[in-house]
Amino acid sequence: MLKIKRWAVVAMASAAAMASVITVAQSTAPSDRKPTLRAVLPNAHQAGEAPMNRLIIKFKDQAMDKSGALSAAVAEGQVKSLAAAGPLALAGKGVNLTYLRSITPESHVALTDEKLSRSDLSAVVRQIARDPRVEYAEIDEIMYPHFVPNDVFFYTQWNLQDPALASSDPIPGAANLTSAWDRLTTGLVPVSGAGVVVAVLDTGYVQHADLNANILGGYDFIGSDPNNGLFTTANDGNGRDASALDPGDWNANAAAGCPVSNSSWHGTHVAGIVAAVGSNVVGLSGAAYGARVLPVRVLGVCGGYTSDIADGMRWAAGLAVTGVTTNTNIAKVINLSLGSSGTCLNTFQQAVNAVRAAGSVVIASTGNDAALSIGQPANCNGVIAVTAHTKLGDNAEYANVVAGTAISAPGGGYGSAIPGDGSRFASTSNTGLTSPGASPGADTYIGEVGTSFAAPQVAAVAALLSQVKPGITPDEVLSVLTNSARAHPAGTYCPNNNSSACGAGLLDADAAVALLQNASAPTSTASASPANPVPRGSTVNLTGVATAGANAISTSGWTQLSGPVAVLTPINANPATVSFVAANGAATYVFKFTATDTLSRKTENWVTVRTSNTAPVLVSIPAQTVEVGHNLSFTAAATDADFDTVSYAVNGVPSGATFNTTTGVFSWSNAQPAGNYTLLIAPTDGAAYGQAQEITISVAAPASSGGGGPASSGGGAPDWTDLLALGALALAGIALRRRQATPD
Amino acid sequence: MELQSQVHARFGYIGPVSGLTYVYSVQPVRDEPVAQVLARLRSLPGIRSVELDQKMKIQQ
Repeated sequence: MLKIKRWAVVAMASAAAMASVITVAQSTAPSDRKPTLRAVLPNAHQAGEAPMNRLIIKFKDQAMDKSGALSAAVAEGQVKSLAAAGPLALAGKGVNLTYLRSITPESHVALTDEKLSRSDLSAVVRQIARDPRVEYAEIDEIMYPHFVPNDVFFYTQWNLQDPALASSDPIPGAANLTSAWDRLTTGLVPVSGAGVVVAVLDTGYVQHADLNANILGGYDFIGSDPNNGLFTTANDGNGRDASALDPGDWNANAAAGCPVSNSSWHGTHVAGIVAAVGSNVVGLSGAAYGARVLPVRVLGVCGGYTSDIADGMRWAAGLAVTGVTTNTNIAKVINLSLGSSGTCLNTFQQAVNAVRAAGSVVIASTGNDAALSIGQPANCNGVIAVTAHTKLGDNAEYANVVAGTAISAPGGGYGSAIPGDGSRFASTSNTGLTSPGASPGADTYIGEVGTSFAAPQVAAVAALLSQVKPGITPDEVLSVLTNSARAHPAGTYCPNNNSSACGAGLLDADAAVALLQNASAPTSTASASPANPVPRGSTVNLTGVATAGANAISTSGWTQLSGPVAVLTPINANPATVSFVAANGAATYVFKFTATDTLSRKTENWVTVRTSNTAPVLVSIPAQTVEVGHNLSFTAAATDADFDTVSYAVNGVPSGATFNTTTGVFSWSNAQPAGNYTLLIAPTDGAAYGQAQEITISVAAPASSGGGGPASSGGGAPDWTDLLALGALALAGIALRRRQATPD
Repeated sequence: MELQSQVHARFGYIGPVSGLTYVYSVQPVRDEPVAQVLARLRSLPGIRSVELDQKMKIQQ
């Protein structure tokens, strides 16, 4: 089914009829001209995240009891054993884990004993994941509801919705802004266009309660009409000035060069599509509700001149314009919902080239002539040309398309192949028919159709991309937009005909942001030399190699996470090499190599360095017996081949007893109740644990009572969890040699 | 005046667009088509290009 497109009428004929203003590119400066030429002659135109501590750990083994049922005690023991296996290294301190609950027999939720930053918790997760008993570990992330602005008419903005969200009522043409808004920047700020300035070169703006907060001070570039010195086009009684307020562009003169019409409030409408204030309970939400609009008034009654628009573009981008104070709210994005037929004028092209060189993205609508051609400035090189589609994703019946069209965005109206219901989407406007009515009484919202309203949605998404990557280039914006676009639905005009004429496809804000955020992140490797165990007192080199992804590496370096303080001496910048002198004793160091690209995406790698070490050996401790009410004391001792200082880890200390982990002294006064108790003691030199020993302590009833207290009260035996926690230490054989305790 | 004498049309300087681009009004004498005036302008030494300052319109 072929779409009938009207061929654009070449404008030169009509424009030439009145022989008005020309632009002249000279090879010499105007100072060569006679001053008399300056006389005005007639007939001219114109992101900190809260700390967190929840983890999900999936073990390879199920936490089942003997009956085969999920056992919280067993699961808790599994979790605790991770920390007991050795301190979870983090910034020089150990991290303990607490079991919270089980998800499945293998998966459990655990808490670190203190809340940590994301990067620190990630480090803990990585260490846990390295445990051979663990299948995987991950942060128990907090999920948030999809952001839905509370603006009362937001539900009417089908163009901003997730096209697939409502399966019962999908919106194939929607631009998926709501999903994009749920994303966070690397600074953990919601993606909304915050911090980005979008210049709207249009009819100016009117005060509107749903827009005012997002409007910057702009400029009016419309001067007097040279043919009579009046301000007929400007319609504000003056020439260029710092007020971009829209006085109205109504036309009551049928001979003025355009149809008799009421004021359009076109600039206000476009500005609202870009950045109407979001979630203010009022009206609508802009597609980039966090961005700011820089209003640049270049269109008045019956349009506006190329020369003024070119000046407005340069000014918006922060470039110098003669006679105008330089703009300091530099626009990263410039929206041109305007145009005319014909090839790109040199004046336009030079302005486009200049603002692109300054880093600004230029977006223009293709026009509403239902033509298989696009006019200027959309057809200028370097401009992102935007056509329009309907709610059903069909190219709109009015929308111009041709090779060179970059992308399509919602414009509303009827489709070329599938008419649909002609849905429009609303934006900010004013009830005034000629001059603007006073806000807020005259504030209103109207639905319009046209490529004029497609372009600002692309401009808004460009603002989101600029927020995600502040230094993004115009070419990168184009690449991301087109590579993330969705295909036109089957059966619509573009795939039915020459789909390349419609550009890359339908605008998808979420896919665009996701593509930019996920674009080939940097990678890295990290290593230490010599390999573990390193000789004590030796110099160790740490080398990190960062490989850039889509963006260049901007920073890289080493930090120490745990172990004795190491002084890192820079050796080389690329690859990043540092050295330190290892301790003369038993020591375990953890270092992190971090590299960051220009988009602040990080790559991290950890290296553990251990000095050579022999674990201490515990001197065998006999089983202990004490009569109820008497005192018991013994001392654990160990030998260490490296002569390292030895301390002790212990579990199962009975209530009322103490064990000094430094001296190894066990002490129990007035031991009771009667029963059998089991201690588990393991020696450590701070870097490695020696083989643990299980020591049985029998608290016996007095002989006069008939002897033989309870064989096992159970009250003092380590519970299953405790045993599992120490199970990571190699268990020694139990020495059963009894030693008689002496009463005090 | 220089342009007027060389091109045989009335000119008025309006303002600059960029460093080397300027806007003028032009009034052809009698009923001469503007295209002919432009052609004469383009033939002048020191002028790189000449084009009409076309009017752009909203696209709704």
